[in-house]
Amino acid sequence: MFEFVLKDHPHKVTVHGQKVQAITDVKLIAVREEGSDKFVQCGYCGAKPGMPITLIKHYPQVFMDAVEKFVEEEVGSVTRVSCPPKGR
Amino acid sequence: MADTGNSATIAFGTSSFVANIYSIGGTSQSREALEDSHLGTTNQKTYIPTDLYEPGEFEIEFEWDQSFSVFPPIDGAAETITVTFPLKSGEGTAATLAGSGFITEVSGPDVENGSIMRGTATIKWDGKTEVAYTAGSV
Repeated sequence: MFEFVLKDHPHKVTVHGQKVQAITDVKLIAVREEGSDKFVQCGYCGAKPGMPITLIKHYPQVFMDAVEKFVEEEVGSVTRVSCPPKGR
Repeated sequence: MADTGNSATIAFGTSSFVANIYSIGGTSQSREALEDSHLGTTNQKTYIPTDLYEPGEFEIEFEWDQSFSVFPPIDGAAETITVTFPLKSGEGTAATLAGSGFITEVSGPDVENGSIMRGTATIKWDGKTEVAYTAGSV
């Protein structure tokens, strides 16, 4: 239903002429939904266990459960999964 | 191409505070100008830039939700903060403004009839992880 991947945080800095990862404690989560051929950013999580997942828009509970399961398998324990409340 | 801010978000890497955001203010960065005018200088004063620049701060305005389980972390440690800009058509990763920072001020809502409760928070970039803008990518 959903396929997730973890990517490095996009923020990089130039050190001695080389682009290096500036943010190493946070990973970007991208999702490919069924029928799509493209992974699209959906949120952020910690790069180590014991950190939260923060989604960048409101998603249904089934999506939040799926992303939590994925991150737990890839990174380890997740403290909480949050996304902005549904709009009025 | 011109775009609005609709669908932009802010993510706090450790505290995970989330809310419906009304606005994310722009970051103002600045540096001092050191005057190097001397007795031989003519007409105008002259200046050179100082070595370091101020990483800046910005303000967010958010919907105050009585069921918040995580409040704006005024007592939290510095953390990775990522402002994610609206995803443009064809992009897989949106543009971001990110760095490390912490909240320096939080204001609760004015509570009154006929008005949505809104809070504000001021976020200071701490410069430990340099704040930088990264363009979106496919």
